[in-house]
Amino acid sequence: MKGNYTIIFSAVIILILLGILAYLNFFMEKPTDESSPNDVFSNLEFDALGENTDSPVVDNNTGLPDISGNQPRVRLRQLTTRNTVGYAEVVRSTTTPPVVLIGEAGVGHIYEINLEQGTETRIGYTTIPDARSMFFSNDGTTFAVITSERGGPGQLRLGVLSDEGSAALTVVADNVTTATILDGVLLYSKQHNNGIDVVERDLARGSEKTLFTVPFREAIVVFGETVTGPHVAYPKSSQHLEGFVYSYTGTTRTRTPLNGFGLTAHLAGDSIVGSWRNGSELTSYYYEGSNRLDLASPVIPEKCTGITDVIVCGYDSETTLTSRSTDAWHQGTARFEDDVWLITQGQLLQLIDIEAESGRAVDLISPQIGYTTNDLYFKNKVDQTLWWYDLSEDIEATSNQ
Amino acid sequence: MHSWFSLPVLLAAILFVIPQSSGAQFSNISGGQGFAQNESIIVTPEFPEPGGTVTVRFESYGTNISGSTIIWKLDGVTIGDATNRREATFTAGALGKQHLLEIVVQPSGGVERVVRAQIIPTYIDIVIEPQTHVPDFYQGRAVPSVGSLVNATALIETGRPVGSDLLYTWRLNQKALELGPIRGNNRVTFDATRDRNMTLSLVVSLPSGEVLGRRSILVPVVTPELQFYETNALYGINTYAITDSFTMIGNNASLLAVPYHLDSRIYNNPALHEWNISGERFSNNTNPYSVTLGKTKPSGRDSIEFEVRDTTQLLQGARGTIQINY
Repeated sequence: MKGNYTIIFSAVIILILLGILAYLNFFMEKPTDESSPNDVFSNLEFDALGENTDSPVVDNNTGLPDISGNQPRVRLRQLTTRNTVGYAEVVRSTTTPPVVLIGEAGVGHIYEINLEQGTETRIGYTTIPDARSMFFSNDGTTFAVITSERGGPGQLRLGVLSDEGSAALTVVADNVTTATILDGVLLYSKQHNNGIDVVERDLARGSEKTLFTVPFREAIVVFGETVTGPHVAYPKSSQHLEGFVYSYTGTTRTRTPLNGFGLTAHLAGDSIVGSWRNGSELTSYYYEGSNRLDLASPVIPEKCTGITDVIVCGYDSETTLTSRSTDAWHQGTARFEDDVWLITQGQLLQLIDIEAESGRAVDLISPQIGYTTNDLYFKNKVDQTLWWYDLSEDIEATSNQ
Repeated sequence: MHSWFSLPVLLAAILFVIPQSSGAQFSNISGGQGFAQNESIIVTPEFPEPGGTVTVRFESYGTNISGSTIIWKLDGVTIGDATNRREATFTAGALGKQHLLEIVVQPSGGVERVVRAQIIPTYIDIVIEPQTHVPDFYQGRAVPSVGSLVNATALIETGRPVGSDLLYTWRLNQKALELGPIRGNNRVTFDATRDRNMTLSLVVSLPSGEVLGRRSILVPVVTPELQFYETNALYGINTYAITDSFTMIGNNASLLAVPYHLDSRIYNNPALHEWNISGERFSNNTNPYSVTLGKTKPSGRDSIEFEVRDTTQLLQGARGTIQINY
């Protein structure tokens, strides 16, 4: 008897379930929400049971600064793990935030880094072997690349990025030491037997003219912020030999009152930050207009950049720089563990301890300040990766002084 | 603040006079009032840089000036704290400014004499470009080594139009280069000597003979040195030198030996180039400075040595050793 009850009960349950299934199939209304046309699941109205109190799972791990105020603001970030030969902050339009373009060493592939989302997207697929340095136009559509097998002067080529990511490359010149793109003009320095020609190429017309000639061959040319200058040129540095800084505006050369042994110089905004040997020590200076101010501590000028009233440098406060330090750093026998420092009125003020903040030792090179002046970009010489530091609070503090 | 900008004062020298054997010495022959032939002004440096410090000494031979009042005037203005001194120090003014220095000697009961000098701040730069090897990635300058070629380029700025038709007279260790003055050519090439420092002198003058400036510099001669670097087929040279030891991570590694300041002619065609890896010597005739190493044992270390040398000039060479860890 007991077995019959069980069979009957089971059959009833099955019939009820079949009834529910038939109802759902034939009588239940389909959802009309056009926003979810692919939703093939029935609305079982679980919401009616009460509000869902589970927290939504959101991946906040973008590596970007958290602006919600819930967490400490992140002010230092490594932007890429790629070996970078050139980079630029690019503003595509006034309505979109700036992005950073980078060129990858050896292959010349171009990537776009979205600073808000932290994503890295390859936008240049053309392979450029032996890419040594790369320069971008303000809008990121045009780039120049120097290729060189051994890292010295090389062939300069000009490329325009297509929407598909390919780039037709035009050979511009050989024996090029450095270049930049300013306001639709490509500037490059070309080495020849008796010196260096700095050539101006109008990108729209393709026309070229020599802007000025540096009358010696082993020169470092540092481009200013406008085509006409001022630009700076000086003989390559050696602790054993005297150097002199020349400023070029248009075609006119002016000898600055900066000269000394082991001399180096770098443009930082309108000023020149440099250093020279002083006996067995290294002395650094800041030169603007016609005034020179010696810095309280020596720095390697190639580690500095600046805009009006703001000079920032990579500086290793735990290493004493001597007259030999610049040569040794160029030679690769010295390595620094830099932090970011602000130069103000000849004094150095530490902005961030990079190693404490990131756990990484950075030998800082190629610094640049972004268009909004809130962003500092720099490379780590150790692995050529690109980093970012948020300068906004420091700029604000400086302007309030 | 900054002395050489904010203290632009005076000077420059050159008497309307006959420079004597030392180029920095001037004696007045056109004093107007009384003067003594054996009084002179010595300006050091003779052609100061703009903003540079100038030391001026008043020399008087055979004339008794004790008891005389000595008044110094620069561009007509009396320099108070130099009164009755025989030596004074000034800061030169801007490029090309012609300063007139006057020393007025007033003997007690005698005739006043004036000695004059004109000082024109001038830049005379000599850029040294040795033809010795440094790697392409090196942002520094090569330095001369024994026997290497050295190029020197003179750049002169006087602050006034002087044209390009100038005479350049170069001397190396007191010996004239190019057999005398070169007209219109501001470059010279010479061989580095065996001295630790060479003295290179230059006089720049107008075709008329007027001297625009002089400069002497010491040019050092160094011993070449060797550094090792790892190279990568994709990224090229790792610009950090291997200063002591190198740890091989993979199964092989490529190393480059880079001699610094070796005569470029010897670098390009070395008489002797030899690698020595744990006692085994060999040469790479494809690229003498490069070697590719394979991992020969799971762990341990080897010694790697490289030497490059000229067989006729033995000081033209470099040798280096590093350890490699497996």
